[in-house]
Amino acid sequence: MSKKIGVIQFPGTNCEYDVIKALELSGAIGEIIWHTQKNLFNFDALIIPGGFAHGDYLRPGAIARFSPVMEAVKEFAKQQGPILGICNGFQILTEAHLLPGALQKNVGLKFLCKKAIVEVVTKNSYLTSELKKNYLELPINHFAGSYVCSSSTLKELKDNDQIILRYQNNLNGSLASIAGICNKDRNVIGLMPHPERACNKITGELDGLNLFRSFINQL
Amino acid sequence: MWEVLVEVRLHPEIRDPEGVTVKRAANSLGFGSIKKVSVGKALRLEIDADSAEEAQSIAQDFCQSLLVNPVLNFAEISVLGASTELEDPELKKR
Repeated sequence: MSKKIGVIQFPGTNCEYDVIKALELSGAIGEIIWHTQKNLFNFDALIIPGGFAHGDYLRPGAIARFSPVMEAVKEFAKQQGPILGICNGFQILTEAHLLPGALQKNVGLKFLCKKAIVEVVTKNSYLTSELKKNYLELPINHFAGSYVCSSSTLKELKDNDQIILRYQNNLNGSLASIAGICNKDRNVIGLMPHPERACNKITGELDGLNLFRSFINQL
Repeated sequence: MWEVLVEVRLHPEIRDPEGVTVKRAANSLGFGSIKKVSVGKALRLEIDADSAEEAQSIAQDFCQSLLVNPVLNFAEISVLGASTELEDPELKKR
């Protein structure tokens, strides 16, 4: 039976249908969950897609963190349910304290919309465990993607093998070139690049599809 | 009603690309004496409270829950004084 993935939609989310298409191509079913929904039943995993939830007002993710659905998301995380946050989803997960650190405006104040080469730092994650390649080509599309955290948090991330993806060319000025991390329990993952935009030969490489397939096969 | 000014600022160790860009613009306009710019956010709140201390404390709680991400910023709160303004100008028209 196909896996069912909840794709959370806030006012301002704009990558939810790309994610659903990517899930379809990976053999899973994606279902949109509006941000006011308070209960989440029978989902094998959740994805928080990219966009500008609540207009990114105050800080990206600051208001989304208080959307009614987030209590259920936190409970899902507590029950060790797999959660993937992409771009704005990553920002929301840090604001909700489901992932450590924060995402600050890019260095040089540039909105970055291009392809990035990212290094797979660890294959000890449901997103990367089935990858054959060590470098991926993935699109990035963000203004606040510069990862920051305290030096003690960075040490923890390194010691616990929580850094999953790293930019080869650190265009946004992220600490330790971080592009994606997971939590200590390894069930919550956030990344700035958009794997759902690298799932079709028409738009380039299929590296994103391989990430989704690895993710789905682990469920 | 108390008028409260909240200034949300970046921790000094957090990179401030907006500050750097504004400083560069200042210098290129001939304001060479401006050596550093830090960009934050200022919010003016009107708080229904019995005292300045209570208004300060409400603003403090609000900062912790929403206005500040402790990884990035901190807030400076100043109670400016008692205010007679209604929070919503639409209400005044009625």
